Amino acid sequence: MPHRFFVICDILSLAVINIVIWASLYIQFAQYQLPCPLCLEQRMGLFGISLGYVFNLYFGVKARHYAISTVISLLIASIAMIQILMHIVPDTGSYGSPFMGLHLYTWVFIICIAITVWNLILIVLLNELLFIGKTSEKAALIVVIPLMLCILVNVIASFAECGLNRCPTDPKSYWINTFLKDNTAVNPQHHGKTHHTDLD
Amino acid sequence: MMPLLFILVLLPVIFSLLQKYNYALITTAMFVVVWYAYFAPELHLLKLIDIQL
Repeated sequence: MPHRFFVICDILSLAVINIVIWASLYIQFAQYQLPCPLCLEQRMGLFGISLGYVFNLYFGVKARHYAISTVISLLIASIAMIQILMHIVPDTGSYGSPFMGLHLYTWVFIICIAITVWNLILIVLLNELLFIGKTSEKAALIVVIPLMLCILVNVIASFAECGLNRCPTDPKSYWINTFLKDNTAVNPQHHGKTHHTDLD
Repeated sequence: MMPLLFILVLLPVIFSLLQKYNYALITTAMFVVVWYAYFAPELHLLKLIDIQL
């Protein structure tokens, strides 16, 4: 297979991952469904998968880069499977609303298995001896820059949800909201007449 | 902690754009290790093979 084939495959893979993660952000903000720690971990793992493709685009196409993506995708598949098994027993409920009949963690599991198979097919087709040297593509920026933006949005969103603490297992509201609310409630007391309000 | 983990995954992308291979690989390894260490108590991966419904 020509070198360009793999570059196009990497760009397409990154585009798919971008769509999945931006869609999860849409669900978080537009439908106000806060992600659980396992959901955040799966999201973070999808970024991890994308690293292999980004390396391919900027350091040359190599089997080891596909291996990085594959290892991380297998890890996330196991994490998604844990979440599926947590809710597999009837009447144990589920987390979040389903999309096209399946919950998001089930989708993550399917996507991770698909990515693993996809990577393995690409590794089989890959002949590294044909590709020597770095191969940076300007077109890659079209998918890499949205990916970086998405990670930055996640940095801010996860800080707003959990702060620097461990995230709650079933979050109901953003940490930043309660933090600001508490501070505005406490401040008038500090500026009041007495300094002993905390002891009362 | 969670935002810092996201920053750890952002760094390899930045190093890739700068074409610094070692730094990109090192930060990727850091990301995987810290990511797993942070979530290890919740994962219980070994329990996957010992599930009794």
